[in-house]
Amino acid sequence: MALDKELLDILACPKCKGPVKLEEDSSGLVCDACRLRYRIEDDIPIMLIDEAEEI
Amino acid sequence: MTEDPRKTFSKSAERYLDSADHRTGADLVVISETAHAMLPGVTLDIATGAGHALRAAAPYSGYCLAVDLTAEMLKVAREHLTRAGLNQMGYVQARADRLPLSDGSVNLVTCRIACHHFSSIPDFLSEVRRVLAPRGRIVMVDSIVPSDEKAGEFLNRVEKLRDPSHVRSFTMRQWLEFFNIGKLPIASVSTFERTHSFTEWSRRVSQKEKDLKEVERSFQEAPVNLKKLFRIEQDSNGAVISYTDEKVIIIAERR
Repeated sequence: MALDKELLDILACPKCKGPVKLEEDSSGLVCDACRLRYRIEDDIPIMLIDEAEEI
Repeated sequence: MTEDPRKTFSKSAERYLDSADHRTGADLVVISETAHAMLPGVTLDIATGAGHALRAAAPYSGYCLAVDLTAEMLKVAREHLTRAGLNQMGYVQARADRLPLSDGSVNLVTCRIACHHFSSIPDFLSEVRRVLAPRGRIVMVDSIVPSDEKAGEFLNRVEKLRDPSHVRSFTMRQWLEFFNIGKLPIASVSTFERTHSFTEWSRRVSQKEKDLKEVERSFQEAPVNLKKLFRIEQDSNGAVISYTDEKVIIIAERR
C-alpha cells in the first residue's frame, strides 16, 4: 500500500514547511532544504523533527 | 513533570477505541454537521486517537488525514476506520504544533478531547491557522475547568495523577482568549456535560492498582463543595462511581 497522491500533494517538512519528496523505494520523505529524511514505517510517514535523520 | 504522550498512549491505544467517553457524544454530531455544511475538501484530525472524529466527518469530506504523535494510536485508528469502510484516509505521525502540511491545504480541522495534552495551545492554533484555507474551519472540543481557581486546580491535579501526560485543562475564558490571540474568529461556542464512569475513566490510562487508589482517594477526600460541583458519586462503601465535568465545543473560521 503506497501513500495516496492526495497526501503527497499536501505533505510538507514540519521544520521549514517546504516540500518533501518521496524516495524512489518509498521508504522515506526528504526535505532538501533542511537536509532531513523522514522515515515511512508501515505506510505511516514519521514527520517528527526529533526522529528525522540528517542527510 | 509531564510524561511524553507517546509513552502513555503506546500502552493504552486500544482502550480509546471502545471508550464510551470517546466513541459517543454530542460533539461528534457537531463535527458531522460542520463537515456537512462545508464543501468537501481535506479534513485534518489532529491527535486523532482512535479516529472517532474522522469517522463522523468522513462522509462529508473529500480526503481525511489523521495525525497523531503516537504510531500505535494511528494503527488503531486505521484499523477502526478501514473496518468502517472508510478508505479516503491518510495517517501521519506528527506533533500538533509542528504540522507537516503546506499552507492553506486543509478545509476542516477537528481536534477532539486532546488539547489538554499539548505543550503550547498558541503554537497549536498558529499551526491550525497556517494550514487552513481561507473560510476553512476548526472544531475544537476539550475538557474545561471552572473559573474558580481552586476547583480548576483540583481537577487538573486529579487528571495529572491519573494521566502523567495531562498538561492542563483551561477555563472557558482562557479558551476564548487563545482563539482571539490566534486570530481565528469564533463562529460558535457551546458546552456539554460528560459523566465519567470512574472505573472506565481511571483504568483507561493506568492499570496499576496503587495509582488508581490514589486517584480515587483524591475524589473521596475532596471538599464537599467540589464533590457537589463535579457531582462525585460514591457507593455505600465510599467507592467512587462517577464524576462529571464540562466540555467546550468551539467552531472558528479562518478569514
